[in-house]
Amino acid sequence: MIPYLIHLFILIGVYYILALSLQVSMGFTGLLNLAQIAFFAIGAYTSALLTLAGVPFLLSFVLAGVLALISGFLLSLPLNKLKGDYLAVVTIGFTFIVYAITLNWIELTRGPLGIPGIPKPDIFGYVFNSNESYLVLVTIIAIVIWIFVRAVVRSPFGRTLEAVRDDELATKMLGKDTKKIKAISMMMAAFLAGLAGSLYAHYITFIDPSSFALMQIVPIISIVIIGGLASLPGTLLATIILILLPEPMRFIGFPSSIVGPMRQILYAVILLAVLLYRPKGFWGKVELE
Amino acid sequence: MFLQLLFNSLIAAAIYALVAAGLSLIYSTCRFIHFAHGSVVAAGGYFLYFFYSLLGVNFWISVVLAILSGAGLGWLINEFIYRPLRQRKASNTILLVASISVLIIIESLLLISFGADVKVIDFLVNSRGIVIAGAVIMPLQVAIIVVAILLFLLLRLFLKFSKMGQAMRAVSDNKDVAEIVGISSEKVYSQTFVLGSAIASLAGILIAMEQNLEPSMGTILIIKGFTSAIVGGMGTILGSAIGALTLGVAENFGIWYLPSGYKDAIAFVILFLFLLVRPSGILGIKSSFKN
Amino acid sequence: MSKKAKIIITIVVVLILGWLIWQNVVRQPEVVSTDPIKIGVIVPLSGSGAKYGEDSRAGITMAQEFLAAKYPDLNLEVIYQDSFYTPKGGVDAYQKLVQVDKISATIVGASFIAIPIRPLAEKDGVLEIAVWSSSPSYTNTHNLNFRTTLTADDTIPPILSYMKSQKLQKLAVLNAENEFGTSHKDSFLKLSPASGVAIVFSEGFDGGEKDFRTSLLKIKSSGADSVFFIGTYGQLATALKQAKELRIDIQFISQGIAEETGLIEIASLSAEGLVYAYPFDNTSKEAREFSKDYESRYGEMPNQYSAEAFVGLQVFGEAVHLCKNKIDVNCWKDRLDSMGKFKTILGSGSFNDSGDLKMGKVFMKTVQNGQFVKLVAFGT
Repeated sequence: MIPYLIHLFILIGVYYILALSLQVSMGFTGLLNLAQIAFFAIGAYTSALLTLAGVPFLLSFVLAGVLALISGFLLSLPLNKLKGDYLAVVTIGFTFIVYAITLNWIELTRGPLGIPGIPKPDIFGYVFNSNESYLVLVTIIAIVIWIFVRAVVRSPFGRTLEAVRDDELATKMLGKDTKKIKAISMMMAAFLAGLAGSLYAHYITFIDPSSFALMQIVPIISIVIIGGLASLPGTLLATIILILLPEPMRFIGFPSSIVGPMRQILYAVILLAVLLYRPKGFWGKVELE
Repeated sequence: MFLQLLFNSLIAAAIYALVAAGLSLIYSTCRFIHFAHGSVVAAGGYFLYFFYSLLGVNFWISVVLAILSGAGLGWLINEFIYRPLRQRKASNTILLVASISVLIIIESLLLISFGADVKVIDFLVNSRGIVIAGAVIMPLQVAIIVVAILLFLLLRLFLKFSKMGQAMRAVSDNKDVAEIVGISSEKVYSQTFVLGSAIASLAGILIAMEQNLEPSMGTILIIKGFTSAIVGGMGTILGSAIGALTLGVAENFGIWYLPSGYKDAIAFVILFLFLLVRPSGILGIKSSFKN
Repeated sequence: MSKKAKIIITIVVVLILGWLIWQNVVRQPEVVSTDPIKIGVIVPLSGSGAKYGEDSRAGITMAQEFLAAKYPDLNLEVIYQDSFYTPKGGVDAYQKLVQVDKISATIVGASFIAIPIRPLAEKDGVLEIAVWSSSPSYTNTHNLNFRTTLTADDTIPPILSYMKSQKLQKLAVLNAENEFGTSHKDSFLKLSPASGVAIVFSEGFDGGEKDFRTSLLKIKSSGADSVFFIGTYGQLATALKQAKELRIDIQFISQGIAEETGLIEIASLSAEGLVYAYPFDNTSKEAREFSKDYESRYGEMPNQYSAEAFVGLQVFGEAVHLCKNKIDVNCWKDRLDSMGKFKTILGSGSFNDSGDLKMGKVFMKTVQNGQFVKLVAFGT
């Protein structure tokens, strides 16, 4: 059982980083950015392809984030004048496009065949072969990212982000370049999602387009909304709870064809319940606007 | 070959138009994107399967029952999810997120109830195509196009001349003014959901017979329907038709030259481009997306 | 932190603790001395490939009984996990089997699922036996991986001979976009020039594709006289039906995927005349007993899927027995490699240097009056 718990906690680590990335753009900056799965995919494929081509892991890991960041920048350009649901829809469209690319650009991504045999991280000669060591790696990276995000959020820049979320017009009138601020927020979120993608790819060792379909964003949105917008401890707790909660179903003896959809239903129902009865989430400071 | 591709485009357009019509109708009155509409389409097809293939009820009665069930499903979603959210002054962003949740719940329930394998409705099994000038079209496909055209005409008449339809248009133009003259917007929302979902179920039934049933078909259909609505102009019935035609032609002529795996990619790219460059669609519907 | 939050956190922590306790105390921990040898079976139990999984399960169940009768002190535990007929599903299933159930060997159905699992199984030291997996690249390196299926390179030559005898020279290839589909396409590309068959059209389709009309129209305009189709039986049936509707009269050719009752159910009359290459003769001398038994139990004749799954577990059981029922993956591997010529329901043959079981022969069959029959004038 312990190995399975280790497996779950590695997933918690990866999804926590992904949820933090969404928190930065949605919770703190007020951008309903549903493209995080696209950045996750870009990070995963970049890291996988680079390491398979012989590039050292640390470099591939960073480049995964960087490539995602550049995509985030590109996406932020047209998003500038958009708000609310329209922005959400365009980010959804972006996710579709990235998905279609992973599926059809066969020369690069092998399309539906996926990329098998992704190597385990090799840092200065130490290979993170065992799940235990991988858990340590993920935990350390998650903690570093958490410290970073916390520092940003508490800094004056962080307060500016929240100001943009709460009242963009007023912030603009105070002389802030909101276009640049939103772009930076998007790039940061994309960068973190790309890093999470790399960690995911090297853990699962096999990725294919189906891991990055649009619906994969739902658990992440659920975590952020349920945990509470703009709440870092909320994000952590919600990630742990949401990943662990469906697991007992597997052991009670539901056939595996039921466990998958039941898990989806569970997330969707909790999300709806939160939207209906506790829109701030459990630890959030603001409501979804 | 050109004629064959044109036929294929018309059939696809008819299906997308039916999906887009319901979505547009709901958007025009309720002002948010009801993503779960796609799962109502899928549910419509599965209801037909349930009544006809599983329970053995007469085909035509099954069709009626399926449409009623789908309309009821739409009503339920509005009554128990969207209305309470509106009472809490939810923004349409929240409604969007909620509708995605509903889409997932319904699709997962379909998956659990019916299984992931493809289901076939064996009503018209061994039919042969009609040949017109070298191109082949199936009787069912002709029926789909005819039904779509009829439905659009009926819908237009309904919206223009019936009391309920006029109320819908009033709320869609200006909710507050409509309320002043005594129209209950909540009642109109409810009616719109029932009507839109009935159309969705009809679409689902036709798709189930033309292709086959799969739990996740709702997701791809709502994307196609949504794309059609945006391309034509979200919120109008005519817009749905024009957008659907554009999408159908682009897809079917496109995959003549490209590998057929690119079909959905074509839809995604068109959607993305229109959202960025001309969100008001071909008809230029100004009131659709704020800018 | 608010009071409500504290309560919720406490409840969650209690739940997690309770679950941990339940796992380790209430569920009996393993007794070490008579530990069964666990083999995980990764086949589709739901979704479009569910019938293949069902067939495999039937074959494996019969193999369990066969082994129990032959070697009473053999202690095997078979654990099934759904692969959902996707590589991702298969990998997830493998991870669960290895981490939770601690399997030492696995039987995997379908090459496009067995191939991504291979590097994982090698790393974990788990023996992998692939069944109904025909992509040649599964055994391009041989370590702990074996298979009981003849590969695409074995299946294509008889098809080419058949085509030559029918004067079919212009072939279209329509394949699913996965290792299974593309390996057959590549085999054709490799082997057809020598037979004078030209491939005039080739297109791949998505694993979940249901509409082949445009591809069929392209095939029609390419002037092909035959089409080789690789996908699931459901997809083949749909393609046959749609070709009939579009009045495209072209010779459909396929392989093992075709022989499922579901094909006839979906395609009905459109399936008549389909020709396919098949590696398992359920009326042969070796298979007769098995087929009789199988039919009385399951109401239909066994096919390639059930037969290869049966043999998969059978050879595993033999290897374990030869290694004195010990959990020793290297011993099992050596035993399989050095098994020499032996007989099973598939025929007679042996494992070659790559871990492929070269057993049985490929012959041509067809659909006639809703039945799967041997092409009398050809093969066998």
